[in-house]
Amino acid sequence: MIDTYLPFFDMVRCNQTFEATATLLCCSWLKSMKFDTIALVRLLDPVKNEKLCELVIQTILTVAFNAKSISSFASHYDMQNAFIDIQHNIQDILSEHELEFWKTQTSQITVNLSSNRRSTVPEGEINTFDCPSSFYLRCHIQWALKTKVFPENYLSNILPDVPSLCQVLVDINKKIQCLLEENNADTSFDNVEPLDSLHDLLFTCKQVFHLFKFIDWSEEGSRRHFLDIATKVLSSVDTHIDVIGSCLEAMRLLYELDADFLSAIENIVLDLSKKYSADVTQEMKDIHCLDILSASLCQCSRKGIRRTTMESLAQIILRTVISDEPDIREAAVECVGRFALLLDERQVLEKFNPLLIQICLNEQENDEIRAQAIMALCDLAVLYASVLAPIVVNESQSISYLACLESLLESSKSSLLYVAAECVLKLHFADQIHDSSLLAYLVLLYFGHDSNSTNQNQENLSVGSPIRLHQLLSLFFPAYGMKSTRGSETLLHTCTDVRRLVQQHQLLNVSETRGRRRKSPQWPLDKMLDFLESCVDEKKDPDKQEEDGKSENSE
Amino acid sequence: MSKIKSRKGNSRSQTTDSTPTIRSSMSTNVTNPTVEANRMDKNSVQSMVLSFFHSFQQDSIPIHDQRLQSMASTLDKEMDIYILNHALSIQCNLQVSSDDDKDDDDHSQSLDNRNESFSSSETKTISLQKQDHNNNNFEKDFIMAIRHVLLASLTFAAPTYLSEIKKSLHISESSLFLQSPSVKILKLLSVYFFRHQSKYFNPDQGSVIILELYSKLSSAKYLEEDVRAVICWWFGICITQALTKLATESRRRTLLGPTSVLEDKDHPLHKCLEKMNHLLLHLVFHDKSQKVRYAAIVATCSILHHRANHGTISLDTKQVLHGLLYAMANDSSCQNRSAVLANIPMYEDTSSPIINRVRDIHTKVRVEALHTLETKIDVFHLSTQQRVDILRFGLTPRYSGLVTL
Repeated sequence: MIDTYLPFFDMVRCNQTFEATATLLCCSWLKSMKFDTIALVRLLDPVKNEKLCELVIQTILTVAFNAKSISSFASHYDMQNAFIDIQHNIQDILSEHELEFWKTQTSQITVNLSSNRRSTVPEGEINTFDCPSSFYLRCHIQWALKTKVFPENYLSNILPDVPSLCQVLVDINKKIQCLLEENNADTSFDNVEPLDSLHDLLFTCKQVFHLFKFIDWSEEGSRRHFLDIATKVLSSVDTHIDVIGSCLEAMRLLYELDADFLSAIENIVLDLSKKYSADVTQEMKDIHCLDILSASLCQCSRKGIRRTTMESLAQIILRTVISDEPDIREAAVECVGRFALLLDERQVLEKFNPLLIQICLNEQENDEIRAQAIMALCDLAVLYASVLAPIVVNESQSISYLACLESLLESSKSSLLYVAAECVLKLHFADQIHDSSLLAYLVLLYFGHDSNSTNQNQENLSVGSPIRLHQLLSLFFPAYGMKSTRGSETLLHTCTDVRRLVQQHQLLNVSETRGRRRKSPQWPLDKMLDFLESCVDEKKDPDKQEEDGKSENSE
Repeated sequence: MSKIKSRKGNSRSQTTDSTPTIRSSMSTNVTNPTVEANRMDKNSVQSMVLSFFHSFQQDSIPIHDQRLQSMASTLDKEMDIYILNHALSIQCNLQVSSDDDKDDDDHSQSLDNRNESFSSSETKTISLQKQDHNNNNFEKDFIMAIRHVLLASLTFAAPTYLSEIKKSLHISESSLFLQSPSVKILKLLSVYFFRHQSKYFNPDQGSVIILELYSKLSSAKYLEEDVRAVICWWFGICITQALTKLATESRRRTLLGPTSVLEDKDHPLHKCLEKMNHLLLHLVFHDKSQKVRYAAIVATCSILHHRANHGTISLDTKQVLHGLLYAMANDSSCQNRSAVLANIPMYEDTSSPIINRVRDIHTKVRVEALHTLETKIDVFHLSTQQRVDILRFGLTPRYSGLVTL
C-alpha cells in the first residue's frame, strides 16, 4: 500500500518547501476559491497538467482529512511531520469557521456529483460533468480507495452507476465525432477553440473510462451493458484513437484471460472489416482495425493465447503490410512489432524476422516505416537473441540486423541514425550484444553533439531525436560500465575503436576540405578516452564484485 | 505599474534574519517607524531607545538591562529630568574622565537653561570619576550617543526643547565627535527623531539634512561594515519619514492653495533623493559586505514602498525595481535574496521573478518566495502557467521538470 499510495510524496523536493507550497495552496488559493477544489483544479488546466493536478488534489485531500489518516502511510517518507506542520499552519491562519466550511464544502462536492448523476446525466446533460469535475471525481475515488479512510459504502455513494456512465460516454463520443467532422470540414484550423474543446472532451472521456475501473463488475447486467457500449464505440470508424486506447484499457478489466479479451477484439475487428458502408473506405477500416489491434496487443501477455485467434489476427495484419498507403503500412509495421512479441521464437524467426529486416533494408521505403521496423526488431532481439543471427536473403547473400544497424550508424547523414543508435544502446544494456565497434559510434555521437545544430536538425528530422539520444547516452555509458564486468571490458575495448574511427573521420575531413582552405573539425580524442576510462573506473573492483556475488549466492 | 495586493493579516515575522546583532534589533525598528510614522507615541519611543541601546551591546559596552528598562519606562512628559539623571548614572558606571566631560557639561548646560536642577545634577555626577584618558574614546562616544537619544526622545515629551536639540546637534557636529562612527550613527538617529517633529518641519531644512546624510553615506566605504549597514538602514528610515511628512505637507498645502515642495521639481530635495537612491543601489550591487547589501536592500525597498503607497516622489521606479530584482536573483547571500522577497512591493512585473525563486537552490529563499506569493499575490492575478510553475517547483522534485524519456 505504501508503495502505491502517494506516489509523489516520497520524492518531494524538501519538507519545508513542500510545507510552504501546501500552505499556499490550502490557505491562500483554496480560500480564494471559497474552498472549491474543482474550481481550483479548473485554474490549473488539468488537461495539460494531469499529474500535477493529481498531486494537488491528493495534497488537499490529505490535509483536509487530517494527519491521522496519513500517519500510517507517510512515516516512511518523513512526510508525516510535514503534514502535521501544514495542519498547524492552517489552524493558525484559517479560522475555525473556515475550516469547518472547507470540510463541509468537500463533502458537498461529492454529494452534488452523485445527485448530478441521477438528475442530469440520464437526460444527456453532461455540462456539469465536465473535464475538471470528472477528473476530481476520479482522483477523489482513487485517493479514497488507496487510503481507505472512508467507510465501505462511501464509494458506492459517490461513484456513478454503469448505465449513467455509459450514457455520459456515448454523449461525449458523439460530441467528439461532431467536432472532428467540423474540423475536417474546416481545414484551415484557424480557430483554436474547437481543438481545445476536443482535448477537453477526450480528457473527460478518459476520466470516465478510468471510473469504470473502480466499478465492481460482478453483476452480469452491468458487464453486458458496458461491453455493448464499448463494442459500439470501437466499431465506429470515427472513434478517436485516444478513446480507443482508454476503452480497451477499461474493457480488459472485464476479462480474466488474455485469450478471451483477444477473442473479443478479434470479433470486433472481423465484424468491422466485413461491415459495408458507403461512407467508409477500406483504408479507413484498415487503419481503425490496426489502431484497435495495436492498443489491445499492448494489454496482453504471451500466456494462454489461442493459436487460432493469433492466426486470424496475423492474416489481418500481414494483409495491410503490403498496402499502397504509407499510413496503413506504418501502422501495420507497428502492429507487427507488437504482435510478434506475443509469438514464440520459431514463428518469429520464420515469418516476421525476414519481413522486418527486408523493410529495414528497403531504401525506397519511408523513413518512418523503416524506423518502426528497426524498433520492432530491437524489441524482438531483446526477447530472442536468435533474431540477431544473420539470415539468408538471396541464395548467396545473407544479412543480419546488427549489420543493418552498423550501416545506418556509418551513414551519419541518414535520419535513421538516431533510431539505430538508440537500438544499439538498448541491446547493449539488455546484455544481448557487447560490440565495441558499435559502441565507438555511440561515443562519437555523444561527443559530436552540438545543441545548436541539433535543434536545427531536429526540425528537419522525420524520425529520431538527437537531444533524447544525448540524454540517453549521458546515462548509458556510466550505467553500462558499472552494470557488469563484461560491460566495462567492452568499454575498454571501445577505446581502440574510437581511435580508429576518429582517424578515419579526420582523414575523410582532410580529403573533403582540401583546396577549400577550411580547417577540418577536430575530435576531442583525449576527452573521449578519459570519459570511457572514468566510466570503467566508477565500477567496483571486479574481484570484489565476484566475491560479493559468491557470498550472496551462498546466502 | 499597478499595485497588486497589500500585505495584511500576516502573523509571520517580516524579516527572517536570525543574527542577534544590530540588524536584528533594527528589524524591529524598521517596521514600526515606517508603518506608524504619523502616530509616534511614547511606547514606540521607548522601544526604539531600548533597541538602540541593545544594538550597542555588541560593542562590549556593559549596560544593565534593568537600568535601561527603567529609563525607558520613565519616559514621560513630566519625567524628562528623571531620564537625564538616569543617563548620567549610566555615565557614572562607565567611568568617564572628567576631562572629556567638560564639553558635555557645557553642552548640557546649554541644553536646558530653564532647569537648574538638571545642570547641577549633571555637573555633580561628572565630577565623580576620573580614569585613563586614552581608553575612553568609545565610551565617550557612547555617552554622547545616549545623550543624543535622550534629547531626541525628550522632544516627543516636550516640544519646547526643539531649539535646544538644534543646538546640541550643532555642537556635536562642530566639536570632537566627528571622527567616531558611533556618533555618526547617533547623529543620524537624532536627525531621525528630529524628523518626527512634524509641527516644526521645514522642507528646506529637511533637504539640507538629507544632503548631510548623503555626504556621510558617500564616505561609507571608509567605515566598518556594521557602521555602513546601520547608516544605510537609518537612511532608509530617514528618507521615507521625510517623504511621508512631505506628502502630508503636500496634501495640506494643496488644500490651502500654494504649491508644495514635491510639486516643485527644481527643489534641491528631489536631487538629494535621486542621489541617495543612486548610492543605495550602488551599495546593493557592489558592496562586498553582506550586511551592507542587506541594509541597502531594505532601505531601497522601503523607498519603493513609499513610492507605491504615496506616489509623490519622482523616483525612477523601473531602475530601482530592476536593481532589487537583480539582487533577488543573483545576490550570493540567501539572506539578502530572502530580504528582497520579504520587502519588495508587488507590481505586475515582479510576479515572474518571485515565482522563479521558488526553484532557488536554498530552502530559505524558496520558502520565503512561497510565503510572499501566499500573502501578496492573489491566485486570480497569476496566469495558468504561473500557477502551474509554482506548484511544480514547490510540490515536486527538481528532476521532474526534465523531458520524459
